[in-house]
Order: sequence, then structure tokens, then C-alpha cells
Amino acid sequence: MKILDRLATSGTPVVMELIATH
Amino acid sequence: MRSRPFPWRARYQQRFAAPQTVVVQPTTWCNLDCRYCYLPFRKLKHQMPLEVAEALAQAVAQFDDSGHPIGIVWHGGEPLAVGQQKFAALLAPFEALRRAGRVHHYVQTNATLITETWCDLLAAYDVRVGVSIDGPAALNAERVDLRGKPTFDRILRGISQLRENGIPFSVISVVGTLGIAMPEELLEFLTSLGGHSVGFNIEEIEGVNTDRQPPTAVQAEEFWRRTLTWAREHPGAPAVREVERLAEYLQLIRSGQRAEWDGRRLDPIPTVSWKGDVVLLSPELADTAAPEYGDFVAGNILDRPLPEILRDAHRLRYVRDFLTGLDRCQAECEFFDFCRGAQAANRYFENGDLTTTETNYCRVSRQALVRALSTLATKEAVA
Repeated sequence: MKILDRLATSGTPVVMELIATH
Repeated sequence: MRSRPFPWRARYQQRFAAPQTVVVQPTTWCNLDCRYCYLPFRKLKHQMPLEVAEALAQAVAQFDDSGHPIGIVWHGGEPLAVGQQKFAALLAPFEALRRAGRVHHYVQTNATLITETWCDLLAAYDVRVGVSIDGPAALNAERVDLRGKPTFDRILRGISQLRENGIPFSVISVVGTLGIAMPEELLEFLTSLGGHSVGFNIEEIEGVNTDRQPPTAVQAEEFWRRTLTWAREHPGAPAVREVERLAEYLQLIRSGQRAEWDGRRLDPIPTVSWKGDVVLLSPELADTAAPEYGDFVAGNILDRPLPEILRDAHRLRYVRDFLTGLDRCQAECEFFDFCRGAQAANRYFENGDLTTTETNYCRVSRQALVRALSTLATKEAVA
């Protein structure tokens, strides 16, 4: 799986919190 | 029967939108002599004649009204070095457009010349201000004046004037081999200045800045990892421009708005030099001697209206080479979906060829940021 696809489906707190800042 | 090749005009229109930004060079001269500066003519005192500003305002008036104001970005040299009277005279031809909401002025300044009366002028024309400052004094040491003296105190005085006069501003920091190892110190300082956002330009090899060693991809990944961590621990702090762009990308992709992201085309970013020459794709290509590409000059707005120059952009060899490079990026690079393959200047200055793909800029500013977030996410997933 490509790195961007992994981030686009990651449910980890660091990713979720980053998106929440937008 | 041979199929006809995809015509260049269609290829250009597939990749590029109408310009939303026009970069303008009111003067070549700068009162500073930053050690990493890429501008070749920053010690020459050319100033833009009023007729060039008038021709540009007439051209912008002919742009289709997209509903969003066109950003007129006064760059340089140091744009404030022309003085208040000349700067106001250069803004005057745009005034009807500004009042109609068709344009918005921006200025990217080193802030050393800002006074209360400058603030009055900036407020009168609703100019949005970007300040170039690299960090606290020790990390701002590359920003020196023409005598090699530090400029840190003068920059802070200018920022104080902006704050005292209620002028909003953003901050851009060039990150070199010292700052790349000290993101927390940079962030603590830069976010305390009172700006609404912070942008990090990791030092690049371009223009006449060719001898210095830029930060590596490994250093950059560490920098972004610690930046992401710091931003997470300081949720009320001003946004970090690059982190915000990654957040926006992921938010759109994850919320089913891929079409909106995919529909965003590149801005050709016409850059208008002091004498009216137009360079497309990257402001850093202006004033570059490149005989194979006609010095990147697409035309002069005193000879030909800017909309016509833009209409023929697909005929330029360097634009065609860049389109070929973009196609290759899309085919070969796993980061393309986020990166979108811009940055023509880096391809040229690093690789000497716009048909090439990966640059150090890609590695340190786009890929390293994505890898840093991926590393943090992986650590959390296995914890």
C-alpha cells in the first residue's frame, strides 16, 4: 500500500488530530 | 494510422488554471544581502516604471472574474525599498480593481524598513504582509545587511510596528543546516511574534545560491517529525503552512472530496519584472540566464497584453518541458497525489532540465513531511 493511501485510511490519533486542525 | 499526439494547448489547460497570483518586482534592489539569497541582481537599483504597473493593472482587469480576488504579490528585491511615494504610485493603477474586490495586494518584506507611516500606507490599501525572518538571533545570522551586519533587531522593530498598528502578517523562515536540527526553538520563537501563520522554506539550491550545502532528506524528516509533534502539543498556536496543507489534503481525501482536490490545477504564477518581462511557472526563474529557454521570458507586457502571453504559454519550450516533467512525476512518484509536481525552478537549478522529476526540494519539503507523519502514525499503531 502506498504511503499516502496508508495515511488516508489511518485511524491513529496523530493523523486524526492533524485532520481535526483543518 | 498513427494517432495524433495530445496537443500542447490541451495538455497545458489540463494542468494549469487561470492565474490567481501575479508576482511583481517593483525593484531589483535589496537593502539586505542574505547569504542564501538566489536573486542575481539584488545590488542593482532598477525600479519599475509606472507605465509597467499601469499595463499590468489593465491586463488584470481583462482576466475573467473568477469570484476570487487575484493576488498581486509585491516581491523583490525588497519591495519597500522603493519608498512610500513610489510604492503608493505603483498601487494606484489597481485601486479601482481593489475596491471592486477583483485584486488583493500582498507584500513579502524583510520588515527592516517598516515605520508607522508605512503601516498607514499598508492599511490604506489593505496590503497583506509576509515577513521574512528565519528565527531567533542565532538562527537568523544569515540575514545580514550590505555591510554584513546582523539585521535581527531591525526586523523585530519592523514587526513591532506591524503589531502596534494592527497590521496582520504571516512569517516565512528559511531553514538551513543549523535550523533544521532545532525545530522547537524555531517554532517557539516564530509563533510568538504575533503572526497568523508560519511557513518553512527549507534552503534550496537555486539562482545564484549554488555553493551552500542544503539540509538532507534525513535531517528534514526529523525536522518535520518534531514539527508535527510540537504543533500537536500546541493546538492554539499559529498554523504551520506546510502542515496545514497536508491536513487539508488528508481531510479532503478522507471525507469523500477527492474531486475537489483533483480539480485544483496549478497556477502559472506570471512574474512581472521591473521592466515588464513576464516569466511563468516559478518566480525564481526571473532574471535567470538560460539561453536554451530564452531566459524564461514569455513576453513583455509593454509589447503584448498579459492575457495574450498567457494564451500562448503552451508554445514555450520550457513550459512544454515542464508539462513533460509533470507527466513523468505523475507516472513515477508515489507522492504525486499530494505534491502535484510543481516547482519548476528546482528542476531547472538542481537538474538543469525541466523534463526531470525528483529534486531535493521534493525530498525535503514534500516527501519528508509525509514520511514524518507516516512514521508517527506507525509508531502509534504498534504501541
